Amino acid sequence: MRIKIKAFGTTYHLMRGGRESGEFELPPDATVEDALQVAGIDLQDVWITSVGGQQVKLDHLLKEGDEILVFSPVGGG
Amino acid sequence: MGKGYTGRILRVNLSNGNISVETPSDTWYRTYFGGTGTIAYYLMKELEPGIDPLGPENKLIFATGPVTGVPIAGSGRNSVGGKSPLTGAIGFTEAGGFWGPELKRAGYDALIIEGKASKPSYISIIDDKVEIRDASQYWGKLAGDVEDGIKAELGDKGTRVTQCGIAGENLVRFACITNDLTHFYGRTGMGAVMGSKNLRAVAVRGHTPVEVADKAKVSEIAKFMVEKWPEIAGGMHEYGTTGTIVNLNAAGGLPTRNFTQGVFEGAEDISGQTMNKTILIDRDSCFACPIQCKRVVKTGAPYNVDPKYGGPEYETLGSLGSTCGVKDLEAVCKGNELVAAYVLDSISTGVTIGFAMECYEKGLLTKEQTGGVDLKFGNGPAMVDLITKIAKREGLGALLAEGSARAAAKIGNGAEKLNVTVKGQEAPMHDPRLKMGLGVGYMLSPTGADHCHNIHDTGYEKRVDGLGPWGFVETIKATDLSTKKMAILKVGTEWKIFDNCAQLCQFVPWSPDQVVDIVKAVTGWNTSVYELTKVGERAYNLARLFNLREGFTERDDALTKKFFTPFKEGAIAGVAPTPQEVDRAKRDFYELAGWDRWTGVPKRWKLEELNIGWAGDEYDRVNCAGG
Repeated sequence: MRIKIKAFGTTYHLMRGGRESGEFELPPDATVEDALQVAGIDLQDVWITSVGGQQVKLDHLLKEGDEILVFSPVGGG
Repeated sequence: MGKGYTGRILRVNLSNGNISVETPSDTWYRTYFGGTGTIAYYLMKELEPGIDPLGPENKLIFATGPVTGVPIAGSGRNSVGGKSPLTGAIGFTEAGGFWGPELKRAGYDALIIEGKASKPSYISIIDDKVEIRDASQYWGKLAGDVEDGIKAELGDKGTRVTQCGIAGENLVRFACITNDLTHFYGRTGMGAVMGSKNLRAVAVRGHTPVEVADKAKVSEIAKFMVEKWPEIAGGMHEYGTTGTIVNLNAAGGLPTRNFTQGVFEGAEDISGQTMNKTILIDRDSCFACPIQCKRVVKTGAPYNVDPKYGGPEYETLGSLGSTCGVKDLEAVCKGNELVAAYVLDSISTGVTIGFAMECYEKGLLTKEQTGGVDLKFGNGPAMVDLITKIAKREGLGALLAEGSARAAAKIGNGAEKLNVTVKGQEAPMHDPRLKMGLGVGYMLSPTGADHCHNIHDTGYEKRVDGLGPWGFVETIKATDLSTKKMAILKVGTEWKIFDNCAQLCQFVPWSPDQVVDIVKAVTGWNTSVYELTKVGERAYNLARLFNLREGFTERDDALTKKFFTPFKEGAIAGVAPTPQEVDRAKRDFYELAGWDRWTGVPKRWKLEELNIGWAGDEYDRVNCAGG
């Protein structure tokens, strides 16, 4: 199945290749954690993940066409 | 004396025109260091308690650090301090830019301004030539006009100008000071102190580069950041701090509608991502910094935002945007232009307007009091309009120019419960319901609620790399208020205050070890994380003693009630610290800091350890007299 990932936050280059967003091919029973690994995102840089506007945990099961939003931890501002 | 310093402190008395230079010892410099340390030292030594912050007895101090003006990333900074007219406590605030490096090049580590000029004036410093000049033609003018005028008058485009604005002239209690129009000494109302002295600006031009102990090492460190920033600070270049909006909104902690909500439906509209795609036309930087985290925006009608005042950072997007419920990015950018042109603290301005909006919605302010304006949350044009009214003290602006705590007391009828201040200073855009250690940091900050000399707990949920030198190697939850979190708050605060003594920008990701290397290479002193943390701790203790001498007590180390009420929606719905939890945490902090658990007064042994026993004597002279 194909899913989208979009990264937000001051940790700009989260994804492999320094991208902010991308599409990835994953097996049918993939979780959010699987997707992040395929995208090359270090879990230490991940603070919050959401799918369809709802916060989800790393073991959340994905479905075709899902878009994962990834937020990095924030410090000051 | 260590290298990096000029060894000279300039003193200008505006009442009698005296101009003098003093040369502190090497020991003094290594003890108080610069920036916040210099300010805390002089204010504790030279101010009598109880003076009027807007009277001639107050002093306004511009202080650089050893790193200011050294050609490495993050060295464009200096502090400004005095007794705060907003809080009545010690005030200090920092900015980047180019003015601080120019003061060093002119041959001064700090500038102490005393007294009050008999007419509008500005100070011109061109190396050894220091003059008090007439500023009558600049009084009442916008910052951009004053900047252009002074540069033309002095005939040197390389002149750097720092100034208070119309807001400072009108003694708005949260007026700030700007340099080069886009860098702000934002907090604690130092612009009003400047205005109270009839001092509109300080123009500086210098021609002597800052001397360092180990030039080759400084170049090597500088090269590291020039080469590595795209990898380790690429996000700061791309979005500056504006990227924070969507993250905090997702976390449920984006201050919204005067802190009544943590999720803003307009977050994407005012986000850095949207700004980049629409109105961002350029990026700006500070002295010697390759990262360029600052924004420059331009819009067409109706707001026609002028790019010469830059663009909003996260704090301004949050305060004029989500805090006021305004999701029109161009209105927020117009607000940013106006606070820059009038020289107001954007945080206090936005939070005060947000407070007024909540008062209006709850019927505590009437349409008659707002001048017929429907001051509901989300009214962008009203927010923009109120900024000018505050700066000029017109209509409702006259009340709000006093700050939201004083305004709340005057409005009465429970308005106090709606104001979001600590020690009278409006809270910045970080919510203690999300970052609980930061909440205790707000309580303890000597300048009132502040996010810069503080910790951001959410940053430690996944990584604690930066805390290794102090022995903290395990991640810790943002909601944790344990004694261990207080120990992290203690060293985190001390290290940030040290940054503000040495003058290094906290947005340039230097590791603690690299900071030590920088200080060694600049000063030639064989120093360590331990010694430099003590420098921060010393300045922190001096600031606390200043406040205790003014009559502040542990009861003033308190969080505004709003933060104890959980949000009803979003990722942290139902979560809030309790008054009991934060009180216990505060007292744990006192003990860790060597302060009395119940009174919060630093113990004598702590002051002796920090080599500031003299400040303990001074505290005793005032607070224990007759006892």
